[in-house]
Amino acid sequence: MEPDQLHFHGPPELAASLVELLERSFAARIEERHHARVRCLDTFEWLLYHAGCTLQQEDRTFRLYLPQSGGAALAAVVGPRHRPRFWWEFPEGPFRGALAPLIGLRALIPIMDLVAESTTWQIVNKDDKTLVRLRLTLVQTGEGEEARQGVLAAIMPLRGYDKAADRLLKAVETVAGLRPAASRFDALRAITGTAPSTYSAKPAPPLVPDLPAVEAIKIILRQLLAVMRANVPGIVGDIDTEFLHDFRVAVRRTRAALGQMKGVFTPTVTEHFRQEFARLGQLTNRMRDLDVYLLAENTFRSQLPETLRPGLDPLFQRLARQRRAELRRLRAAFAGPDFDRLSDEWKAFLTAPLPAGDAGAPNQRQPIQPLAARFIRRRFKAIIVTGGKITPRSPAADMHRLRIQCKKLRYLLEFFTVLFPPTEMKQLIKHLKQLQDNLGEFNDLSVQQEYLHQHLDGLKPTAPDAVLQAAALGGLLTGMAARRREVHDQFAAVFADFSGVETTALFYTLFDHPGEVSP
Amino acid sequence: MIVIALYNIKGGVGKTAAAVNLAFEAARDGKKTLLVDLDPQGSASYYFRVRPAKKLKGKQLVSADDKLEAAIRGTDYPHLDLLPATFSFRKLDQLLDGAKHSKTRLGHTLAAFGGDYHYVILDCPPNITLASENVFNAADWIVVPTIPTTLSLRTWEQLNRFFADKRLPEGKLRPFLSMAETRKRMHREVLDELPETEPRLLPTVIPYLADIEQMGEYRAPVAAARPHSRGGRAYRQLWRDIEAVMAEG
Ligand SMILES: Nc1ncnc2c1ncn2[C@@H]1O[C@H](COP(=O)(O)OP(=O)(O)OP(=O)(O)O)[C@@H](O)[C@H]1O
Ligand SMILES: [Mg+2]
Repeated sequence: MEPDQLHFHGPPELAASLVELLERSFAARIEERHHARVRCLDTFEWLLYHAGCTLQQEDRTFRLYLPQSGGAALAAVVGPRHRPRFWWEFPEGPFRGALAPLIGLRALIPIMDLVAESTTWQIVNKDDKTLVRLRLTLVQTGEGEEARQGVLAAIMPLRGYDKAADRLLKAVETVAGLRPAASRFDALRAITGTAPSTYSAKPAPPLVPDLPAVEAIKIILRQLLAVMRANVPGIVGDIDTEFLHDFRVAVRRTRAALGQMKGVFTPTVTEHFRQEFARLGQLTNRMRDLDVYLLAENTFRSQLPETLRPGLDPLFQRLARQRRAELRRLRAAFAGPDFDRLSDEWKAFLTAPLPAGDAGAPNQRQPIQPLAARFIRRRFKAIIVTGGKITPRSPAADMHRLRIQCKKLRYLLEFFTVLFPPTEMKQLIKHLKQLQDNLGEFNDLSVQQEYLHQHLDGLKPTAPDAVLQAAALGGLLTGMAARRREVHDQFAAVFADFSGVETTALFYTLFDHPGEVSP
Repeated sequence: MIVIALYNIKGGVGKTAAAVNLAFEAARDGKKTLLVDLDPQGSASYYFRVRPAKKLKGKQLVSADDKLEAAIRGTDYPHLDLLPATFSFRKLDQLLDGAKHSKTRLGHTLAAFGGDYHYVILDCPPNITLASENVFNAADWIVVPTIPTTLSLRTWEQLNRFFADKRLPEGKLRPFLSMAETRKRMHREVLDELPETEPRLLPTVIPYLADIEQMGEYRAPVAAARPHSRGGRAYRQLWRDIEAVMAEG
């Protein structure tokens, strides 16, 4: 087992001092020199870094360092002109297998580009056995004004030779200006001045129970606005589909916060911004639909026998074409003044001091916790009523309505999590999620069926591969119809679980308010 | 943890040369590997320039002990560690004789600290008697270097008979032909015949080569000192054979 390496960094001049130190006080010689252009990659929110991993690319080789792997990496080598950005674009193997769950649908983006010139020194005994190594790496990044340089020193001990490692460590520590770092990656960050991303799609708002409602809601809404803004460059740059997804969730949550928290803002303000954000949401609907279909391509294909799969090609070619057009439209929309204007107006409203009096907003100075409890309770009761009426013969529209109600409840629970006992909140969200998964799958299948039907209707029977296409679509539709029935049949049990004593009791203990009459 | 023993009761057949080079190949693929030098002569340790562990007593090898773990040394090569020989291993037989569960002791000891490693490779001394049963129990695979001579084949047959008598699993045994010299008639005959009659024989033959003979001078695995040599390639090939055997189970 290789013991942990110790890392240091400092200004480039220190390389010479370190070499002098080695030559003066140790039996040391150069074992290896290495020159490389190194690119460090991560996702937008630094998922790899936050999971304790690093991903480096040197030429065509990608290396993924997992936590506690003692310096060993999983590697993948890609073709000469191949620039993989998503996990599924790497060759199959352990590297890809480890990367997939770490980054999901996210793209890899370069976070540091550097030139690294390293010299590995070995310190030996009189048998010429290596006792410890010191790797010095001169790192250079950026150009011109932006250029930065530094030296990285890594002590690489060998098992059973602790004394030699200690002696080297003591010597290295005497070099003034050299600073320790927790990892090689952190040392590189220090040299290049790169800070990890702090982005979170669902930041936890810092709320306290007796904060006036209007203050609390404004904190939540400001965070959501920050999420929207953070995602625009990624949407416009078409980096990956998660930017648009996070953006849309933030828009929906904003609308839910506005619509749910009755009496916190005046009706005019609420109405105005609800409409604005509804429009903003609609702007991205089509793009999201196309993303969802395109992401499902492999699943769709795998549901068909091999021979029918080519029948889906025209459909996916068309979807890809439509997506390109939609992207142009979306880029133009974000380049225009509308989003910035709304975003500025919204920000101004959210940061403005409270006007005196509370005309039209009776709840604005209520403490947030009991108010939140009231809203959550109301939402929950509505869901119990709506869901209780659904039977296996109910139309899809009823399921749809319940799905929207559940989403709203979910947002409320998430906004106000910090105000209630954490374990119980987690449990409630888990139960709700099970119900949402059922409703969500039912809805996806309904929408997809409708889309495929439309596509099927639009097929020209004279097209050369019309029969193959129709067979493929027919195959998919048959599978979907069966699955949709299954999901619908499962609903009763899932809902019974959600509306059962356990969840209901939890809701009433957490959110009930003595002395209040239920509506 | 997969334990592979290089074993032959006969001396000078290429056990240590194989143990050193196979351990190097195993580690080269990124698998954590520990080479255990059971021979008090310490040749394997010598090839890696590691001094014998002075304070390590043979007793510690049979009574799982932290001190044993502390004696492990990192070699100059990534992922490859070595448990060096100790002069008191000479008393291994007597020690094992006195220990409880004496036939499974070594296995327990290795399991106690070898869990960190993907492979544990044992370089066995020649002429071990009681200790050999410990090796046979501890090892998942017993690789037997065999010089292609009639005398060596008799030793191989004796080993099989011993396994049968003691009801040990003969399926663990995997011979390979070692130090083969095609200019010798007897070697040629065995090289031709043994593959026909012995299904467990590993297909790669390690020839008698100057590159291997000189290991004692350059003190490193062949492939590390002479990356493109025939000897290096031969051991790489032999390791692939062993991997194939392990993959079959
Ligand atoms: N394939 C080979 N070609 C040439 N020389 C070899 C070869 N294999 C081993 N040797 C040499 O033969 C001698 C004995 O080999 P080695 O030490 O590997 O055998 P061993 O079975 O471990 O011996 P012992 O029983 O004494 O431990 C050594 O000097 C070694 O360098
Ligand atoms: Mg030997």
